[in-house]
Amino acid sequence: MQVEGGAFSTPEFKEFSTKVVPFMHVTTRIEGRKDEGLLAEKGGRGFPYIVFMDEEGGVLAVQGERTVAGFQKTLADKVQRFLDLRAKAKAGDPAAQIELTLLEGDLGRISFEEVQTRLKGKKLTDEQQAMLGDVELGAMISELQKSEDEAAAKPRMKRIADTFASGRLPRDAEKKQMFLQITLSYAVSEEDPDLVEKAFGPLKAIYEQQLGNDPRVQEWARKIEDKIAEMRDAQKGSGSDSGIEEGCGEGCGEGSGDK
Amino acid sequence: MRTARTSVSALALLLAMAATSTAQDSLEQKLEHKLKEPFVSNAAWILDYAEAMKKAKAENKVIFAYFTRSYSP
Repeated sequence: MQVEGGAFSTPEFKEFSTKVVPFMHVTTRIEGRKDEGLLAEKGGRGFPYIVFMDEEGGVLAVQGERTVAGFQKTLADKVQRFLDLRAKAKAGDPAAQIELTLLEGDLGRISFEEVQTRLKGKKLTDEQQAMLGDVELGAMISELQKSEDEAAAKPRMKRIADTFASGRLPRDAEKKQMFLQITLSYAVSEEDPDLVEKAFGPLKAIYEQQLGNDPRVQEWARKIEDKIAEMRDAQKGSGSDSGIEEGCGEGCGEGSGDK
Repeated sequence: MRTARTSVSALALLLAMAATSTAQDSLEQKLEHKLKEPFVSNAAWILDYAEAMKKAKAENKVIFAYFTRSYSP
């Protein structure tokens, strides 16, 4: 992992680590090992995954940038914001209670249903409404990830694809990419060239922004375009399977994370 | 005939158990190797979840949680 030989090996990190409780969880695949599934419990989908947590293990913030400056910024901004909101909400501040509920939903600390229950009858600002929408879309992804088999996953993929087709996408970059990948995968499995085309454009733009003119992106894009053409031909009465993937290959279009 | 079949089945089971045991030993070794990597000694990493929560409560600090893996590089 790059962060191990990078940020974690610096004197700055040694200093930073004294201000927090540095906890390292190693997924080992050793049978029966204690807390082996903790990554998923805390919302992790790949490695490395870095979060700040409170003393009860509740996630306070998910770390993006993997530098000591990035860790310090998250601690000073996001973590502090959560703790401030929690203190204000506890003291009875109604605006803070709404913000905290939305933030807890966004972090997966509470379910979307719980968020809806807590916010029932409360007047939300436009931004809070938008955040509520994001929490709902994030919950759809989490539900899909909990699927134990293809039969359970399929209706959840359909729900995401239908939601995308209706014009909704998460604002968060990572969730937006996942939404598009899931939709594309579903659309290919359903032989729906219109939906494939609709998800393909924005997904290609994301990959190109992340990786520039990487040949893997071009190869993936060519396969998708071929598949769309095949599906259109099949609709006219002929066709074949080019066996494409929803993503542009291992390590491609996955941001800076090691999966 | 039945005894022979039973013996073969038992042998297959033993071999499978041995393979599983070897795989588990290998995973233990990989974990051991991971924990000896140089970055680990640069901070007082806590490896036990319950202990991390206990320390966070006692010292009124937040937990900085790093999730990694040992089964693969």
